[in-house]
Parts: sequence; structure tokens; C-alpha cells
Amino acid sequence: MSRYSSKICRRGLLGGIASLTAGAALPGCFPSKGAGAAGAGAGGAAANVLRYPLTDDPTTLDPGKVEDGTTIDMLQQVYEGLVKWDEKNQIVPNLAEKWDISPDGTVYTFRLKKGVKFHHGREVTAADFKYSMERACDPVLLSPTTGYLRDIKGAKERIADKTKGIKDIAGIKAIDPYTLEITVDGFKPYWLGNMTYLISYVVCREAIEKADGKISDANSVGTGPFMLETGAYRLSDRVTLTANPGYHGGRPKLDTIVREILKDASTRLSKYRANELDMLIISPSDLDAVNGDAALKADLKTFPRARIWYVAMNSAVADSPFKKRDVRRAIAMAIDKKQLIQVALHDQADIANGILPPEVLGYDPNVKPLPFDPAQAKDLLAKAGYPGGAGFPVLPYAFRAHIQEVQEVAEVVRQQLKTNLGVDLQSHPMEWNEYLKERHDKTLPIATGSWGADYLDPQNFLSTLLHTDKIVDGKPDHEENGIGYSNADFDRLCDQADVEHNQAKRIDLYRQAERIAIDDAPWVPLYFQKDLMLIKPRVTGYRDSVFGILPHTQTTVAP
Amino acid sequence: MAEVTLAKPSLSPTAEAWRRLQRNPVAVVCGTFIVGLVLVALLANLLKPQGYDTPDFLHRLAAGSAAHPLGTDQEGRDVLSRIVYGARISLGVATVIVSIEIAIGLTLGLIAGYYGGAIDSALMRVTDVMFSFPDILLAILLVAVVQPGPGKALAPQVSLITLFVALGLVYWPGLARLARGQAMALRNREYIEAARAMGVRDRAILLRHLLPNTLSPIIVQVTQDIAQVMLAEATLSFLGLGVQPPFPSWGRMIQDALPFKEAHPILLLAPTVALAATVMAFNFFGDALRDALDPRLRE
Amino acid sequence: MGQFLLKRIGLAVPTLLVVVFLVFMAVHLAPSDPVENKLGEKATAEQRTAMRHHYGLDQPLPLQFVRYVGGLLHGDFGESYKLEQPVSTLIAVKFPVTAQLAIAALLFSIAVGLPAGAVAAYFHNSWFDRAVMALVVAMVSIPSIVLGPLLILGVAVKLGWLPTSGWESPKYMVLPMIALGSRSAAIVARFMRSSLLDTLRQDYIRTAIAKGLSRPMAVWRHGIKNALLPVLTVLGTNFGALLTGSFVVETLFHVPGIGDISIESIQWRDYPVVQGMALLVAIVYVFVNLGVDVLYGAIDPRVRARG
Repeated sequence: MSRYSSKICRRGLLGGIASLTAGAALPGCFPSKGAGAAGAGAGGAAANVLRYPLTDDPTTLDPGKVEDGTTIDMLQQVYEGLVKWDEKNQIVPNLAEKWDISPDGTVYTFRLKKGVKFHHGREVTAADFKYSMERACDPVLLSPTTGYLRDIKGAKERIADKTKGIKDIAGIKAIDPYTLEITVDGFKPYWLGNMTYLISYVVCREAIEKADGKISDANSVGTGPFMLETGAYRLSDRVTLTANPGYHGGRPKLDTIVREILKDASTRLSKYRANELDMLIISPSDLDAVNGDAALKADLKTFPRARIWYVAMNSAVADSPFKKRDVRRAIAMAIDKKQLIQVALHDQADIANGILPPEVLGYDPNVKPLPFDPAQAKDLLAKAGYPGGAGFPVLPYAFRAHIQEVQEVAEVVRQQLKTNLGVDLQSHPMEWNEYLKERHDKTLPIATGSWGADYLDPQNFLSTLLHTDKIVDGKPDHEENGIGYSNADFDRLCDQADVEHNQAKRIDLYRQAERIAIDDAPWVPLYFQKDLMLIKPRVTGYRDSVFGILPHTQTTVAP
Repeated sequence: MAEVTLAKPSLSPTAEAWRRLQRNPVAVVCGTFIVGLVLVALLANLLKPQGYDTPDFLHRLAAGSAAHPLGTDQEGRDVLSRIVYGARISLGVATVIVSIEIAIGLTLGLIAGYYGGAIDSALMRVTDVMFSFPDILLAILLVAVVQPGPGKALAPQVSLITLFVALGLVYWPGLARLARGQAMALRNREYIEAARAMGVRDRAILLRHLLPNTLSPIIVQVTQDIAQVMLAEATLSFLGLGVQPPFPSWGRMIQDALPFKEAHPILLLAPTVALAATVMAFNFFGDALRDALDPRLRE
Repeated sequence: MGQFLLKRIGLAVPTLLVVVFLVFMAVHLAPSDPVENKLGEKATAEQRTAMRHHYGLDQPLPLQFVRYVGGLLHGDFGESYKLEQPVSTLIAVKFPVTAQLAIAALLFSIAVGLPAGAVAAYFHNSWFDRAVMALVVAMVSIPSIVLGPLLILGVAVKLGWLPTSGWESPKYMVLPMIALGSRSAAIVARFMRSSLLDTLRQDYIRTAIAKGLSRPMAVWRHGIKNALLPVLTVLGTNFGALLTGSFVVETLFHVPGIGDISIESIQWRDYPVVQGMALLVAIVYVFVNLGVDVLYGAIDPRVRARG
């Protein structure tokens, strides 16, 4: 090696190493705790800062498009609508301080609260609501939740019409700055529940038009207790919500909510243990770790959600053994729900005796389920022609893949059916879209399913899911009854109840229908879901409803 | 050719190599381990007749016991059984892929090296492009193509075929280059020229004269490739892109065990140790093989 | 030298083009599509068609490819389906993390490997030498997919000295760095040792000692030059393993870098991100190899002559 090249090499190499070292010493690549979250010390808790992680990247910042629970939970701090849920699961006024419904039930006249300001200062008017809802129906937005606006007169046609841009929907009228009139296309006593969905929430026209119709953290203008300031969304890292001092409900007690994006469950648990998080949603599969740790166990809080999990048996498939009522009842009686909840859900769920969850209007605490009775189950199965399970086809038992507790529930059910009835089913985890598709095609012989209330009315469960009219057949709105269940008495009772004005009579009719459905056993109701959270004692004032934790207007975090 | 010591009678090169191998303690240990592993893989059905996929959710994450020496996993399956069947999968997949590698790479390499010219240039270009991307990352990309969709998973059998194709594609160039080099080195040797002069057909030359003399380095490379391929499969399975459940794969088992690493470390330890031991055994054995076949190749 | 450089760069460009093409085809010929996942449960067939149109997925492939390449030349890598953010922003956020980890691993390998190899060579055939070589042989065979879990179990879980995952502060970097850099450290040590041994046998060391230089000084002065070779070798031959290793290590330790998001995007069918990351990896790989080739050429005229 010549002296010349070795000098160059040596200097070059040393220089290279020096710059590499300098580069590596830059601390800038760690998500800095100092910068950004105002008041949140590195790792330590600060008063009135709530550190509550997101389990995945937000799917969007646009309330007109958002669909998943995680992002909804975040955006509902920033945006608001005409009405909202309260802790008693009632629909109560929010930006509309009162409303009148016409005698035929089709015209809703909302009186808007005066003096409600957008985050940038301008007052909200009825025209803003009209704009927001019409904007949501613009095909350019590709919103997946337009279904919640469909009942408004003129909305169906607008949605079907592919023209881009904001088009008028006749059923939404801004009568004057504080009066909004919405006409619904029929008597739908449950319609107001649709206005609790973010697609109907008010957004700021000028902020959106400035950015070509897209909403980012640079133009997120709502009316909610918290704001998304420019730069609040650090990609792949966190979203920071800051308190809205001019909130119409009074300034929230919190200063900031820090939503760090942490996709791994065990990372979230470790950070919670290390006091770097104040509040955490956990799933039943995390309970292994939580129950083994006294400190974590003490922080566990459970919240009932109006969501039922069930086993659905398809009588629409040709040659389906589930066409026989006795077979279905046998299956229902062979499942030990108590053991199921204990093993698969660590006891963190409520047994479902009926179809309506406790929070739903018409819930009957005394409803009689089909009992867990393996002996009787075996008899029924034999009577149906499959003594001891002989001759029963090995059918695929479908369930949604990738969610551990769903799989565990399915596996325990499978094991129980094998042991208690001699019926062998094949485990068939399915991707969500595939599952939906096959449900559409009515090809799932037996499956675990769940349904969460859109609104707390029995119509949302009974008429929507088990009515003959809802059997999937390609027509719009005929989508939810994927198992071909059809019982004329059940249908009749639901039809009557759907339009019955007398509340008590309505409830009675629905209860009769529920009893029929339980006895016919198109479903085996398994359990009602509970959401699980870990909440540090220093967090108080949070409010819960069956639809989730409500916006954090009253939440406080002690130092 | 092998050196001949005056004191001992000269043995054939193969016997010489075998003798050297036997004398090498590392070779003996690793070789035994490998043989043992192959036996376990072949006899998995006898050793663990209950199979690799009998979930028992009522007894998940159980500690070690007589029935389950290594405990049960998050679905209640016997961990030891899954390790045993995992050996079968790992070795089986590696064998198939290495066979593909030999079938394509050896053939193309020998032909390209022997004939030279356009065929050789073509081979060099193609392998150049393939070498311009790190191997496992290329495999990831190839497998990513076939992923059936967000959240979906391939059927386990299909996932195996995907691996065969993807890894076969990734690893054949290495062997091809080696074979080419060997062929080029040997094609002008006297005995080859003699055979050509005598009118022996090319195919016979390749098969009967060229191939046997290139075997030494090829065998060494193949042995080490088995380790490489096994590692690649484990990596792909670890990332969720390789062998799909319920087929057991040590790489996948490592990934599945991560959420339980604090409470049930054995779930993570077992497949890690199995994989480490196997890869190391093949690597060391390959080194020892190389030393045995031609001591001059060392260093 | 200039000609050598040009030739090397000349080879790099078509390679990159081929990679872009292959990645694009690979991703687009796949049987599934990300629109399903994006739209969620309540979407209708109409909405799916509309979204497919919005993303240009219903256009003929060649046209999509042309638009993509056109965008690339403007620095537009497309937009992530899942996050609705430009891929270039994602890269800007994730790349520094991976770079930091990779550089840390490299520095670790140099800091551990060079001295180990040098001392082993200096004390040739001593117990230290033998121990180092045994360790080297072992570490070369232990990939990060195995070393990582062992480190996690041993150091983080059992001993609790370091965190098991995450990326918050320098202490989170230690285990991933070791998991990623150990193999390189072994290779560096091995080359350093053999290269230094060669040098030590050379005449000019003896000449230097004969001229009065003490043995350590002679070794030091000439030994430094020998440090170049192993480092470059590691960069050159092991860089691919380092890149691959970062995929595994980032997944194991939940490091929010390129590897981590690549795997996530593959699972999600987030085409633009997969394409962007593959391209990024290819560019980095090609440039590092280019750099190493150039450096080799600078050191060793024979390499330049061979061209």
C-alpha cells in the first residue's frame, strides 16, 4: 500500500468514523418527551395531563369518514353534534338545546344552543350543520358511514347519485341561524340515535375549503372540549389534544390529553406499570398478565357494553342439520356458558340469557334461557337423528380471526360440543371481510358472531337481525339476517312493535318476540361484552356510557 | 489432489475426507446432532403421535408436567410436540429448497461455466441482479406478493409452496455461481480435453467427468445453505410471512411466544434454542466438512 | 479513478430501475387489495369501486407504473392507504430510527471487534486468542432472530437490567444494538486478527523493530491500516445481513423503524408503503455497496485496474 493512499485512507476512515459517531450521538431520533406535550415531564406524571395510548394509527382525522372505535374515541373530543349520550345511556341535548318532533314523527326541529363557538372563534349556525352533513355525502369523501344519514329525506338519492361536490339534501333545512329542521323518510322512533354518530357532527366550512376538502391537524376545527392544533399529530408517534378554553360546556379540567401510538399490548402494559400511562384499554388476553400483578389488578375497571356475542346457526344452507329446531336447541343446551366465560374471558363478561343486553330498552331480567342440560341436549340430538353425534357432519365453525378472545371462545365452545354432545366441528378462523361476505352469501353453517347496539332499542336487535325481511337477498337493507331464520310469529310481533306508539305495549311485543327467538334457537346467546380498562387512581371524573367512555369534559388527573 | 504421507497407505480422497472428519470433535458432535435431528423429524409421528395441533383451551399455558414436559402453549398445545414437528417442517422445507437450488443452480452453473459465451453472460447478468438485493429481504418481497390480503393468511399448505418458490428463487444463484466457477476451472483440464477429443458427448462430459470433481465445494456449500435456508424460513415465519399455522415452525413459535415472555419464558426459550442449535450444528459441520475435504481450503 | 467511479455508478442505475419495476409488479400482481381493509364493515360494493378509482387501482397496470415512476422523479412516493399520509413523510420519520440503530450496531461491532481481533492477533495462540476465536465462530453462526430472544430473556426478563422493547431513550437501544451488531463484531474480529497476523509476519514490521521502534508502536502504526480492511469487509459483505437483521430486530424489540413499518404494511397490503420501503432498502443497499467498492478501489489499485 503506497504511503499516499494510506494517508488518505487513514484520514478518510477516521473522518468517517467521527461523523458516524456524531450522527449516532444525535438524540433527535427518540420520541422526545420534552418537546410537544406541554407540561408532560419525561416519563413522569403531571397534573391535568391524561396519558392514554392509541392502539393503532388513527385511520383519519375527518369525522365524516371515521368508523373505527379507536379513532372515534379520539375525534369525539374535538367534534360534536346535535345530541350526545349521557351516563344514563340517554340521548340528551348537545349543540341542539332542544328539539320538537312533529306528530307524525317525520320532522325534527332542532333549536341550536346560542354562543357555541368553533375552535377558531366563529359561532356555529344551522347552516354549518347542513354543510357538514351534505359534505359527508359527497362521493369524493368516500365515507363508509353514510348509512347513518340515509333515513333523511333526499339523502338516499344524493348518496346514490355519483356527482362530486356538495349537493343539496332536501330533508335538511337551515330555517334560521339557530333552527335546523330535518325531515326523516318515515316514522322511525329510533332515528335520533343516528345523530350521535360522528358523520352528523358539525365541521367548519372555511377551514376545510382552505385545504381542498381534506382535514389534517392543520385545519381541524370543531366545537369540542379539546382541540387538535397544528402539528398535534406526529406521524406514527402520538396525537396531542389540548383543552379548548372557550368550550361551551365550560373549560375542561384537563390541560392536555396525550395519545401515544403504541401498537403492542405488552409495551402498553409495561409503560402503564412504569407510570408512563394513566389509562389503558386492555383485552381479555391481557388478563393473564394483569391478574398476576396485584397493583395492576387493583386498577382494573370493567364497563358493560351493549354488545352480545352469540353462536349463529344457519338454516338457509342446503342440507344444513340446523334446519331442525331440535338440533339447534340441542346445541344451545350443550354449551356451558359459565365455564366459557371463566376460561376464555377470565370471568370478565356477563352471561347472556336472552338476546337483549341489559342496557337496551325492553331488557327482561327474568328472561328464561335454554338451560345448560347436556342430558336433554343429547336426547334432542338423538331425536333429530344424530344419536351420540353419529352422522353429524363435521362442519366448519367460523369466527373472526386475529382476536385472541374470539378464538378462545370459539375453541371452548367447540370443545364443549365435542365433550357434551359428541358433535365435532372444525375450527375455521376467517378474515373479517371474508366472514362478512360469506354471511352475505349465507354460506356460514355455524359461526360466532357479535352485535353491538347502534341505539338502545330492541328494534336494533330483534327486527334488524332476525326478521325474515332482513334475510340477505341482495336488496339494500336486507343484510343482517345471514342465517335464514324465519318465524312468522316473530315477524308479526316485531312488525307490530316497530310502529307501536305505546311504549309499554311495544316492550311487551318485543319481549314476546325475544322469547320465540330464544326457544327457536337460531342463536345461542353466549355473553354480553364488558370493556376492560386499567385506570390509575389519580384519574377521576371520567364518565362512561355503554357506547364507550364519554368525552373527557370532567376528567381530572391529580399530580 | 490429496497429499500422500509416506508412512501410511494412500486412501481414496473420499476415505481420507471421512477419516479427517471422524478425527474432528466438532464434526462428530455436530454430525451426531444432525443425524439425531433428522431421525426425530422422520419419526415425529412415533414420538409424538398426538400431533402438533391438538388445542386444549381449557389447559392453556400450563407449566411442565409428565404429560407435557415443556408445558402447553397459548392454545393448550404440547410445546414439545410442536418443537418435534417443527424440526420436521424446518428440515423438510430446507431440504426441498436446497434440492430446487441444486436442480436449477447446479445445472445452470455447470452448463454456463462449461460452455461459456452467451449462456455464461446471461447467467452472470441474471445472478448480478439477484445479488443486488439482500437475500432474505428479496424473499420477503417475493412472499409479500402472495399475501392474500390485509389480515388474511395463506392456507398452511400454500404457504409451504410459496416458501419453496420464493426461497428457491433466492438461493439458486449462489450455487450456480459456485458451480460455474468450478466448471470454468476444470473445463480446460487435460482429462476433459481428452474426453472431448475422444468424441465423448457433452452431456456425458458434464455428468461423468465435470460433476464428480466439483462435488467437494458443492457439498460444503449445500450444507451451509441448509443452515441459511432454515434461517430464512425461520425469519419469514417469524415475520408472519412463512409457514402458516397450524403447521409448526420454530420461527413462528418465537413470534407467538413474545407476548408471554415474562410469564411463560419456556415458550420463547424452546424454539430459540432449537433453532440456534440446529443452525449452528449445520454451520459448524459445513466448516468441518470443508476442512476434511480439502485442508488447503482452510483460511 | 473517475472512470472506475462512473462505471460503478453506471451499474447502479439500471439495477435500481429493475428493482423499482420488480417491486411494483410484485405488489400489484398480488391477488388481494387494500380497499377492503380500508373501508371496513359497512361499506357497499359501490363504495369499494369508488375508492379503487380514487386510488387509480382500476387503471391498466402500465399506466399505473408510469404514474408511479413519474411521481418518484418528483420525490412523490405516493400516499399510504392506511395512514393517508405521504410515504415520504413516513420515511422521514422512520428512517432516522433505523439508521440510528444500524449505525449503533456498526459502531458496536467496530468497538468490540477491532480490539478483540487485534489483541488476539498480538497474543497469537494464547488462551485469549483461542477464546476469541471460539466466540467468533459461535457468534457468526448465531443470527439475530436467535440472539435477540436470548438477550431479551436473559438480560431484560430474568435480570431486569434493560427494557424488553420500545424506543424511548438510549438504554432502549442497547439490546437491539447488540442483537444486530454481534455477528458483524465477530466478522470484524476475525478479519482484523487474520489481517494483523499477516502484517505482523511481514518484513517491514521486523524492519521497523530493527530500526528501534518498540513492538507495540510498530504494531500500532501498521496495525491501524489493517483496521480498514475488516471494517470495509463488514460493510461490504455483511451489510445485507445488517439490513435483514434490522427487520427482525425491529420486530422483536418494537423499534419504530423501516423494518417494523415494512412488515406492517405488507400485512396490511399498503402498496405505496411497501413499494416505498423496498425502494428505499434497494437504494441504501446499492449506495452502500457502491461506497464500499469505491473505498476498496481507493485503497487497492488492483481493484481499480480490474474494473
